[in-house]
Amino acid sequence: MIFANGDCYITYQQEELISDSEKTRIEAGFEKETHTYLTELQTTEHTLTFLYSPVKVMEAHNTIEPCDLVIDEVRAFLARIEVTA
Amino acid sequence: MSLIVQDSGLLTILQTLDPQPSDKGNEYNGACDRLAHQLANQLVGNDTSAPTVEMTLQPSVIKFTEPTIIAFSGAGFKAKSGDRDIFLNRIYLFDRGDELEFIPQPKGNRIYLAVAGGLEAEGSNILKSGDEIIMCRNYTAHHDELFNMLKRRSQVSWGVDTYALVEVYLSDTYHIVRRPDIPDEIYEQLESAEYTVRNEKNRVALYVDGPEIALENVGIEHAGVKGGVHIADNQPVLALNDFNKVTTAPQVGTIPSYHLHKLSQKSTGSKIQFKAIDAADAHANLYAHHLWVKSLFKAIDYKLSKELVKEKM
Repeated sequence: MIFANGDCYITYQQEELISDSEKTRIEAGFEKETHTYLTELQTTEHTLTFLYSPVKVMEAHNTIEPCDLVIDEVRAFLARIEVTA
Repeated sequence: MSLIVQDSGLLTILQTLDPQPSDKGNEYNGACDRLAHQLANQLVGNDTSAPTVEMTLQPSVIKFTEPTIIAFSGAGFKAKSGDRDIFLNRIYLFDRGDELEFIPQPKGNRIYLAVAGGLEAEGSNILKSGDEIIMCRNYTAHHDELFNMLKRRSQVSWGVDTYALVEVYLSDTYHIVRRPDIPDEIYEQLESAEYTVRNEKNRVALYVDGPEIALENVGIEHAGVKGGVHIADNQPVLALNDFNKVTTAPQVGTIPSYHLHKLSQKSTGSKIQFKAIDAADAHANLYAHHLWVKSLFKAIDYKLSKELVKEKM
């Protein structure tokens, strides 16, 4: 599942373990790419947590609901690195 | 010479606004009270992200070695310099040899000291008694004007009034953004009671006591995020800036960034009440808070520029 974890984070969470090698691959993929809104990634055995600046998204898109835009970016990133969300 | 830490208090640390890597091995995990950090910088004409001195619970005593413009913000601490009373959220000029001593008050936990022209650590950013803090002296034309004005009277006649900040700091109610995997009953339990701060592990977490929360630990490893509310030993634990990167304590939600200023000012014995909200509501509140901060900073700029113009006439 993907959800807003507070006002500055989007978290992808799964029940199955994310192996160390998989985490390394995902982190390397995140580092290599440039992102529109995502600024940081924290990985654990079950989660990928993305940091973003909500106010920047709000002002860029003239909206007070930045979540969907950022979740779309997270989904697109997960698809590129072949993580099934 | 720069600023000398005469007495380092409980925890005095040079801190950046946002987390930053350090080639000296220092931990810059960001100011706990971002508003106070930015406000102190705004008052002295710095970039709001310039490093400040973050002092927790029992603040330090600072000695000045040259003319220095300062402001401090955050908890309702008072300060003294000789016979002179020094107040929160005001701009002061100190001279060589002056000492600034803070007097803790029952409310609040942290203050942030900003120095015009910026600061940097000589070695470790955790400051001990006898340490020096280097003044960067990156003075702008605005700083020069401030120096000229303050040479004549050593302080400005106004400051940001406590009442102006009441909206941010006064309430004991803390929003908690719901997670989709947590049952509604848990939020009902959290909302129905008042929690008392038992203690703070410095910059890591706030431990609170109240009615027990029975939440099954399903073994998910969570990322430690600022404001995360976890359940450990059936009690909420609230994550601060230096919280573990990873935790297996179940996470029930996250306190939004606009409530983290006042969270970091909570001291032992103070009260906390939770109110569960959705992310959409948190974002609406965040934007309102953002606009309020912008207007506050504009008001400071306006007051200062008016005063500087008056000085020139």
